[in-house]
Amino acid sequence: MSVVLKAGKISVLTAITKIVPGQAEVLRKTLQGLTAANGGKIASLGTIHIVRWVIFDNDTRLFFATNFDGDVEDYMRDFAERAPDGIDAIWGHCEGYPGARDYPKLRDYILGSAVETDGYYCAYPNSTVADINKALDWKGKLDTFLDQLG
Amino acid sequence: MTAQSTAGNLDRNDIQGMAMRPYRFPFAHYHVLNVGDSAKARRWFSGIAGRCTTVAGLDASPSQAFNVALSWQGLSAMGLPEASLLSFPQEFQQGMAARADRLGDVGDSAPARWDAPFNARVHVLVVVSAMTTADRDAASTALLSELRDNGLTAAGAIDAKLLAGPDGKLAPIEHFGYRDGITEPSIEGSGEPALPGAGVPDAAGWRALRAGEFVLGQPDETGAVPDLPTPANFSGNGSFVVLRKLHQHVWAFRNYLRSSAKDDADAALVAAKMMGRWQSGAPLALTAKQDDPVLAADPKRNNDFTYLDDLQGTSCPVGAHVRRLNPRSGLTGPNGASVHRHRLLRQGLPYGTRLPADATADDGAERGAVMLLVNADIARQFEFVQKVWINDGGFAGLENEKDPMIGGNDGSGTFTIPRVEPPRRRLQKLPAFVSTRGGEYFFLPGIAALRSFAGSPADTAS
Repeated sequence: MSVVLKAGKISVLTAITKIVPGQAEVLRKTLQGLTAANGGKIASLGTIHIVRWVIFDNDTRLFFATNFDGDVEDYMRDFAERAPDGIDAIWGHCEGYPGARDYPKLRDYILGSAVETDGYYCAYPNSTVADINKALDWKGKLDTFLDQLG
Repeated sequence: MTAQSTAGNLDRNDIQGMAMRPYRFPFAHYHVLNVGDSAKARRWFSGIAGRCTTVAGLDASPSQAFNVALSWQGLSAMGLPEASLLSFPQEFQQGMAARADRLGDVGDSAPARWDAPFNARVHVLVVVSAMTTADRDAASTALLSELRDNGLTAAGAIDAKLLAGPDGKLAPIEHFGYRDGITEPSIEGSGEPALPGAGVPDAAGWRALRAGEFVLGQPDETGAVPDLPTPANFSGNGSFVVLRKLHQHVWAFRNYLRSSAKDDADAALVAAKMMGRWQSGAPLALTAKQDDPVLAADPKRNNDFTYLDDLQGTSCPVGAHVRRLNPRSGLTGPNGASVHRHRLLRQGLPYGTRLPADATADDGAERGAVMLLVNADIARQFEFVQKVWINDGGFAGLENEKDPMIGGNDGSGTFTIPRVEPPRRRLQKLPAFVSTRGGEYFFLPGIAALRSFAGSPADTAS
């Protein structure tokens, strides 16, 4: 599974799929909706640091790059179970997509369209999304506490 | 009256009892066999199908039980067609030793250090369980005497039995001295009483887990029936059994408590915080300050909690052993959504004798537990629990902490004990108290599937 790079606690995945002809515009609107309002459903998964989709090559291909906590084997299944509609709404516009409800086929599809990472840097490879949010929460509480003292 | 788990369209006469119901037999032999002559072995398996204890067969509380399972190498040695073999999940094909990195079986737990017969790939697991040693030994003697004529060889056996409790009577306790086996998943159609705390909390209290979490070919918690290995009439009504032989460093555990606690009472508290239950089995979730043996002895109360009122873990630490292995409603955030997809039915018994209470040094003796963990999907259930819940802390906001009792700690582990009055207490320099000494993944076929071995290899898969 060398297409998935592991940097500390973070997994790095890039995948490129072919868009069904004529569906790029619908897909573009879906992606804009999905990532609006601070990530919405994506944020609620709680393990995704960054995810980016780019429609390129004259509206014929979809580039997908993400950094997430944990191993792909553990978490892709969880994504598939918790957000199958979201996954369908995106890759349902791509050729050969098997649907999110058959996990082994979904895994083979995503990993089969993944490309190896050649260079990668992350400033905080050993901090999970949960760690970072907790630290920020503590910093906020400490500031509030210090404000009350002063 | 306790509600029974309702039976759907399960064929309780075709599913081996071990797949759905916790075994309460005090004595067992775990025999490991290899297949030499597949034609003879196929006849033998077909012949013993009728002797295997089924889910229905346990209704009458039999005095002994007999169950058989095969590893992927075993199925291969029996001549299962290639297409069928390759349709089994990847982790089952690879076997436990090949999954060592993922399972945290490294260092002292590495497969290179495993005991025989698990230092090589093995084919068959036969579990002989009984209420008395005489019955068990007679059944094992009979089994061993028929192997040679049936193309099978004995690779090894583990003698396992309940340990003696404080009053000298056999009791469900493990070598560290704690009551064991309280939490078992309640499964639809098993025929087991649906005790509070055993299944999934819902509006009406508790409901049983769907049978497909443990039996192939049944709907699971998603409501769907996952794809089965082919052919479905061979794999259906089957299950997967994960065998783990875990050595327990009892002396190291006692030493650690002595060095970390202020006095005996504090040692009892620290140990309970690590375990999540007191020695009697009373859960910290219900009695956080002291042990309560009366509560512990009441099966309707001793498991009836969800952690929903203890999200910070001030009663039972979020990283405590029993809470990690069954987080119930106590995981905040998205990781709480799929906890019921990672449940395991636990079978197994201790092996070896207890380290005396007044021991003043490690006696070097072999002692531990043989765990037989039953699930329908080894990667999603057993491996996820082992890797994420036991050997990682990220799922529960615990950073790098591992399970304090059975995690792969290396002398630098920590364990956080949240307290109502800050600050939290943090244990340092945790070593491993458990080392893996062997194990394998086995498939536990249905009765009809075992009978089908009588035909030619091609017929098994038609």
